[in-house]
Amino acid sequence: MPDPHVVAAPAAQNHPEPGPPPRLHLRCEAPEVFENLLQAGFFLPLTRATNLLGFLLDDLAIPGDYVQDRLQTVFVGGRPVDDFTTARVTPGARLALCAAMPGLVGATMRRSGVLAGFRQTISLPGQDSPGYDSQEETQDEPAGLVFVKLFNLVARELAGHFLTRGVLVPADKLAEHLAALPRGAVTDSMRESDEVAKLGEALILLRAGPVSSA
Amino acid sequence: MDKILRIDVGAPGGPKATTTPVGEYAGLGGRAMTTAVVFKEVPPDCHPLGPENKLVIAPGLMSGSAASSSGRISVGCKSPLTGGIKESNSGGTAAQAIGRLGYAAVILEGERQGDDMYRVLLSKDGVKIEKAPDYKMLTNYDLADKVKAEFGDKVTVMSIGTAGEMRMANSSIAVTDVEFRPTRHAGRGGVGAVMGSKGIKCLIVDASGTKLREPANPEQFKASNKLFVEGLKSHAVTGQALPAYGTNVLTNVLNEAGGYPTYNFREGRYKHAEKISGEVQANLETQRGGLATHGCHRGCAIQCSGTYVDKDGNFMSKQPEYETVWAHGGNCGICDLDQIAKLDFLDDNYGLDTIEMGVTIGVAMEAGVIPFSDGEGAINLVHEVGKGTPLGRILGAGAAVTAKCFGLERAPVVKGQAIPAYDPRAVKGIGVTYATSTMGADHTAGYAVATNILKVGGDVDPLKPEGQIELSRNLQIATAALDATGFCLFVAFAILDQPETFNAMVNTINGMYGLSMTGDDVVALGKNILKMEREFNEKAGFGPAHDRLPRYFHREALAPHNVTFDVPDKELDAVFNF
Repeated sequence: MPDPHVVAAPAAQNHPEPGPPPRLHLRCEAPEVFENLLQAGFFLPLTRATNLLGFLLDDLAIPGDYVQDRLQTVFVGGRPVDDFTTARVTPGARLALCAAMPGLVGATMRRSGVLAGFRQTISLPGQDSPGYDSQEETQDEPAGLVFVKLFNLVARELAGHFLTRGVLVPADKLAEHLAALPRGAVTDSMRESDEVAKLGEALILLRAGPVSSA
Repeated sequence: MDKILRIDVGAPGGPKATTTPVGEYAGLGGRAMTTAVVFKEVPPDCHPLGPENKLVIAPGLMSGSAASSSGRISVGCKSPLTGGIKESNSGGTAAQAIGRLGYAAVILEGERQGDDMYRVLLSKDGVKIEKAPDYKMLTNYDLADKVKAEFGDKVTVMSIGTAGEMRMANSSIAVTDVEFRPTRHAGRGGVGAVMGSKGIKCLIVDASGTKLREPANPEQFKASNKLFVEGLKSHAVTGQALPAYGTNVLTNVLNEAGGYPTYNFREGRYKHAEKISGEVQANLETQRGGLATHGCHRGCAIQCSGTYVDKDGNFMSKQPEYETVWAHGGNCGICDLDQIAKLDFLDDNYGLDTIEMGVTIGVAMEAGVIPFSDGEGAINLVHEVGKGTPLGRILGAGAAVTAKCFGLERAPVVKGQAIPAYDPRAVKGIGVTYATSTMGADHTAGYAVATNILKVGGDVDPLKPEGQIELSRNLQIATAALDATGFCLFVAFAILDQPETFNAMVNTINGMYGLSMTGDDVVALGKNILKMEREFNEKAGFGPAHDRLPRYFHREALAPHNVTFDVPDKELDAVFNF
């Protein structure tokens, strides 16, 4: 039975042509128009296994104060994370980044929050927990992909950051998103949405940003 | 708020109103008031639709004042859905209007005579009760239109739809919002059926010519309220996430956590959740010309509501809440936001609790009445309920009755009330609250997350599983107290993180009443409310066996984390040890 917490990227792995994926550069003054796409998830290359804190700060280059203050609700493999330093990110991992959330259960999901005990059995095991495997820390993992979702305020605020760097998305989902965007939200696309759609589930590297950076 | 209005619906010649001083109920508001009246005046073994039951409507202690986010109104009775005590509360404009008229409570009591429906008119000039034959079997929106034509849109209406008139166990009491739409509901527990059993179709409240309630200590009140508002606005949840997305921002989070009940609680993750998330919903509303940020009553600093419009910009419903989107959406396998908004509108129009209705439809889908994912079929089922067809009468009785009628074990209910949008196998702490709440399965029963400030029951290590019983207990106590104030439960997120905001809230109350309450007093109030509710339920026949989740939550593992609910019974039985 496949591990439900690991997201495969079949389109990328089965791509008939090894090498870089197709690219799409869009000029976009308001990258947050891609919020719906980012909350549905995208892929990023992962060159080495690392702990979550290193992944956020070094691989993704998210500012430290943003990681500390804004990323209050984080999941790895669908498990709420309490400690960024003991959580590991490996190829095939599934990651979701989110701000502080409302509701009793929203508060429950918060990193090391008062109510974290409410969801203890689904939490990502910490360094002191029986489920933690310290041996994994020293193993080198092959390069691959990690599946990332950005939710709510994090998606809006980091849309420009991620889209300037580039994200890998299934072409059909990107085409669907582009078709639903208001007129004028993006300009000078290198491909029309129906052309993108022809690529099917294949991953496409999407970059978007203001004119100067597109 | 120094008087109580009692309406004897069985008086000779028609319902008769009597206004009395608040007397022994002085100092109580909201849930504290409704619980105290039901506890003292309603025989626990009575039939919920019988003459001995009473419907108590009480604005919160702070309602009608200038305190921010204090527009909650409580409705209490013996519940037709659970058979226990019930407090169901709502936003909208009623709490402020009734509070400004000086009523601490409006109580409907006695035995209805005949089949007439009545309307109650409240204003600064007094009370009028009139037969309302034209209102009979009107839906809430049609009724609002009729009232608006006669009284304008500055009044407030609390009404029942057709479900309440048919005394369905899942029937709500609607409250009009600032646009005079009946979008806010005291939804849970069938309170609308009790109002229907009293023959009262609606309260029409005209607060014109009244002023905001004056605080006893204006300077303290003003200064504390200012700090309170600043705390709400500066917090990431109350100042940013809720105004931007509304409560449906939780869909992605619960789904990612694997705690999003899907297909009648068979799975914990819905493959199409991304299509009905708060992010998509807010963007769609904005793109179509609706509103993603909106207050359900005037003077709210949080503004978590919104307006959902169709592709042509026409009003479809208020912004559906997370629990509604879940109940009608993921729980039923429906991923079309327009269909979900239509279901939300129909629930509001007929006067139905969206959680109970959505869960009931999920049960009906499991029974094969319609297939999962059939959005149009779900819409037709709600019409059946609103029109009172034989099938609709079954569905309108709630999820537990529907499961029984169709021979299913899998009824996700506690004390007869549908379990809301958070699977208790993934989030066991809320399962403890579902199981032990005096209200039946209720996600708001343990919501006021201020335990770290109140320290009720001592400090709890948040990462230790054995803390769940204590936390659930503390949350239920804190929530009961907050429900008495009229403050929206959503202030809880700011007071969780910011002790100065919690203190500002308490000092706003102190400034209003000239008191010197502390956190300990808040805890004592919450405990007292829960003790009354617990005793009422025990006398109504509830015991430890009712403080349990359905057995299949212990037996059936929930994907993707493959977890069951395994909190021992003896621990559940310890929740009320205080």
